[in-house]
Amino acid sequence: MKRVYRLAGELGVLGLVIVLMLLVGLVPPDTSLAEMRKTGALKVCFPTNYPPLVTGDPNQPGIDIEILFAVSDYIGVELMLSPNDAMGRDFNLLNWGITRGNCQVLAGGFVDTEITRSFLDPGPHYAQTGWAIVGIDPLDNIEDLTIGVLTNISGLDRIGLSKYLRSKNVKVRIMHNSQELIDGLASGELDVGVTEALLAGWLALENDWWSTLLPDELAQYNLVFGLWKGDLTLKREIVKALQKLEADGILGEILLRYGVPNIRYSL
Amino acid sequence: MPSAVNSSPVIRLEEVSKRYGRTLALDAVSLEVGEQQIFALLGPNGAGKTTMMHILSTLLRPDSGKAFVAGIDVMRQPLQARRRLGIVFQEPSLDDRLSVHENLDLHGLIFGVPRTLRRQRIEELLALVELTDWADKTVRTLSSGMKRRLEIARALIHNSEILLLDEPTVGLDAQTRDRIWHYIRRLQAERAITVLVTTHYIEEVENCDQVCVIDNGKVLADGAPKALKRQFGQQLLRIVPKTELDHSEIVKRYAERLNQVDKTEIILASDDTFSESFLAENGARIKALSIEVPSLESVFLTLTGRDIRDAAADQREQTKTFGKIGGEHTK
Amino acid sequence: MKGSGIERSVLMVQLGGLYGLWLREVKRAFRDRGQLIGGISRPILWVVILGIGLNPYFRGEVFGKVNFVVPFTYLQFIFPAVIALNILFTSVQSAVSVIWDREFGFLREVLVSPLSRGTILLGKVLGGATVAVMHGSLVLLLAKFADVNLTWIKVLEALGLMSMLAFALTSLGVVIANHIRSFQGFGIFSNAVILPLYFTSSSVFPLDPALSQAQTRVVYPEWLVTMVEWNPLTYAIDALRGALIGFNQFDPRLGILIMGISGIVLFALALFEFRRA
Repeated sequence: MKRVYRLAGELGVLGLVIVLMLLVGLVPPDTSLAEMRKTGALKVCFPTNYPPLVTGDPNQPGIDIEILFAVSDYIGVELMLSPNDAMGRDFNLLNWGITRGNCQVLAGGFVDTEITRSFLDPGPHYAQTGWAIVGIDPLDNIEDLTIGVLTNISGLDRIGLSKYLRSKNVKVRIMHNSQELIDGLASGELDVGVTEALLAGWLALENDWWSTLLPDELAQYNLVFGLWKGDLTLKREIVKALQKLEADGILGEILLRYGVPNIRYSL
Repeated sequence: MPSAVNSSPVIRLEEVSKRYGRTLALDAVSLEVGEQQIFALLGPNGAGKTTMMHILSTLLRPDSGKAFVAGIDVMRQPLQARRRLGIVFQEPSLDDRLSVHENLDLHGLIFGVPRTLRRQRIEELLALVELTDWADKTVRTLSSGMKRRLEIARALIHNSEILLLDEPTVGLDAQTRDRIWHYIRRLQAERAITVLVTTHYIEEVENCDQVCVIDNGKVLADGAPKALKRQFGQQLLRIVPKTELDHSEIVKRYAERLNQVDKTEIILASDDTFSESFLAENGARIKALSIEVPSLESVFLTLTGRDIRDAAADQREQTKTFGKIGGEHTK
Repeated sequence: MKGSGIERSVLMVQLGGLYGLWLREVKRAFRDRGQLIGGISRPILWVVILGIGLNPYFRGEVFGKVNFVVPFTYLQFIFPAVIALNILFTSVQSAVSVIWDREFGFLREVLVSPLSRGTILLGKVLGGATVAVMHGSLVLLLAKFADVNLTWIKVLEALGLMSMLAFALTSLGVVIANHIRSFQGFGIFSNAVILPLYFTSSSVFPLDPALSQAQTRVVYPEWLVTMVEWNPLTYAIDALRGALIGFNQFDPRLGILIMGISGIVLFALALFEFRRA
C-alpha cells in the first residue's frame, strides 16, 4: 500500500512543479498595458491617406481606424489618432520620427514579413493582401505596358515584384501616393497600376475600374497592426479584443463594408 | 539436481595467479568448495581475498590458471557463470535513493527474473532476512547491518546457487556480526546454497565447514577447522605462579616455550605430554594452571608467523574511522 | 529450480534490464530535490527575470532604429536557448552520477549481471536523456509568458530535437566522466567548458543573420564569431529555435545532422571505453 502512496507523492511533486511554472508564467512581463491604462488612451500612428485602411473621410475613416475604435472601446480606453505624413511617403523609418511617446500601435497597412518583424511585433492578422493590378479596362497580360507602381509602407516583397515586372518587360513609373496613381490612370499616362491589393480593390470600387491579384508566384501576406517589441501585456489585451470582435462578427462586417472579399483570417 | 553424494566441487580454482604491477596478488592458488558448504577464506588485508572474489565474479581475468563455478569456466562463459552467482561486495552497492523493495526489484529486472517470480522471491527473501517491515523505506535510512542483510537477500533474487560474500561483516559491531552470520546460515540451510566467505575475523570462521588460510597470495592451509587446529594449532598452558621467585624460575627454565608473559600470568607453548610433565615437575610453584585448546589464531600464527590482528589493524582502523565520521550515512 | 529460474530469451533479459536501469535513472531524478529546484529556477531566472529585466533594452524607443536584428522579441529568442540550457545542465549531472556509481559501488552490481555493456550504457544514457528532456519540458510551461505560440506539431518537433540533443549531451557527459576520477574534476570541467559552450552558441545573443560573414566580423571580434560558428551547440539550438518560433540562422537540417552524428559517435566512443575498462 505504501508503494501507491509513494507514487502518488511523486506525481504530486510533479504536479506541484507544473502548477508552479504555469503560475510563474502568469507574471506580467512588462508594464505596457498598465502604462496605457494609466493614460486612459490608446495612441495609434498611421499614414494620412491609405485607402481603404485609412481614408481621411470622417464618415468612412478606413478599415484600420474602425477596427481600432472597436478595440479601444472593448478595452475601455479612448483612441487617440496620430496621423503621420512621412509614413505614407517614405520607407526610411527614421524619417517617420515616431517614438514610444507618439503611439503604441502602428496601423495603415503593415504586413507580417521578416523585415517588418525586425522592428515591430506584429499583432494577429485581420486580413490578407498581396500585389494587385488596377486598370480602367480588364487586361489579359501586362507585357510591354507602362505601369505605375505604388508601394507605400506595406512591406510587401518589392524585390519579387520588380523581378516579376522586369520579366514582363514593362516600363515602370514610381508613384508616390494614390492620388498620383489615380491621375496617371485617368489621364492615360499609365496603362495600368500595380499596388497593394486592398488599395487596388478600393480604387477599383471607387472609380468603377477593374483590379485583380497578381499571379500566385507573388505570395499573399497577412495585414497586421504593429506594436513595439516587448509590449507583450498590451499585445495580449489587443489580441483578446480582436478575438472578441471576430467572434461577434463586428470584424467581418467592417471588412465587408470596405469591399474586402474572401476574408481569410485567424485570430 | 541431486545433492546427496556429489563429488564435483561447486567452486574450483586451478593454479590461479594474478599480478598487479610488481605485486603478486595471487600465486598459483588452487582450492575447491564442495556443495552446500560454508567455506571461509581467512587472511589479513592484502592477502589476495578480494582479488580472488573479483576473479570468481568475472570482474577480473587471472593471468594464468582456471576458475570454475558450477562447472562453468568463468573466463569462457562469464554470463552463464554470473547467473549462478550471488555476490555481495565489500563496499555496499545499493542505490540509497530507492526503497528496499525497489532495490530488489531492480536487481530482479537486471538479472532477468520475470515479474511474478520477482514479486514472490522478494517477499520470500525479505521475510528470511527479516526486513519485510522496511520494504518501502529508502535504503538511506537503513543501518549498516540492515543494508548488509538487504544485499545478501538481493544476491539471491535470481535464485543463485552460490553466494560470494567479500568481508560481509566489516564495519559492523559484534552483535550485528552475529546476526549476519545467523542469516547466512539460515539462508544456506533453507535454500541449499553454497557460500564462500572471505573474512579476517577468526572467530567467525570457527563454525564454517571449511577454512582456507591465505596470506600474501598463497594458500597456506585448507581444511575443516577442527582438522586445521589439530594440524597447526598450538596448545597453550596458562600458568599463574605462586611467588615472584617462582615466576622468574619458570620464565628462565622454559624460555624457548614462552608465548606471553605478564606480571601475573605466563603462557607457554605446550602439547599433551609437556602439560603433564610440567604439572608433575612444577606443581609446587604454581597457583593455577589451565590448558587452552588450540585456536585458529594459533593456527594462523603457526602458518604465517604473525598475529592476524597485527596484519588486520590497518583495515580495522580504516573502518573504525569510517564509522566515526558517520559511516554509511555520509553517502 | 536452480539457475535463473524460467529461462528467458537473451533479448528479453537485455530489454528487461534496460528498462530497469532506465527506470532507476528516472526514479532517482524524481527524488533529487536539488536537481528539480535547479530545473525550475533556471528557466525562471533566465526567461522571467532576465526577460523582464532586459526587455526595456530591446524594446526600441525610436521607431526605425533597428535595435534587435532578429524578427522576434528577445524573450522569444532566448526561450529555446533556455530549454537547451536545462537539457545541458541535466545531461551533465547525469554524467556525474556515472562517477558516483563507479565510486560508490552500484556499477559493480550491474557489471556482474547478465547485461551486456551496451545494454548497461544504453540504460544509463537513455535514462539520463529522458530526465534531461523532462527538465527541458519544464521550460515549455513558460511558453505563454514568452509569447511563443505552441501547437501540438511544434511541441512534437521540439521534443524530437530535445531528445536528440539530450542523448548526445548525455553520451558526451559519460565519455568525460570516464576520464575524470573525482567529483572536483567534474566541477572544473563543468564551469570551464559547459557554460562557455552554452554562451557561445548564439543562445543569448544572436549573430545577425542579415550580415554577411565579413560584416559579422566587423560587429563582433573574430575569435567570438569563430567560436560560435564552430560550436556544434549553436546548430542544435538553432534547430530548436526553428521548430519553436520559426527562426533559423542556419540550415535547420544542419542542427539535426550534427546532433544525430555526434550522438552516435559519442555513444560509440563511450561504449568502446566502457568495454575496455
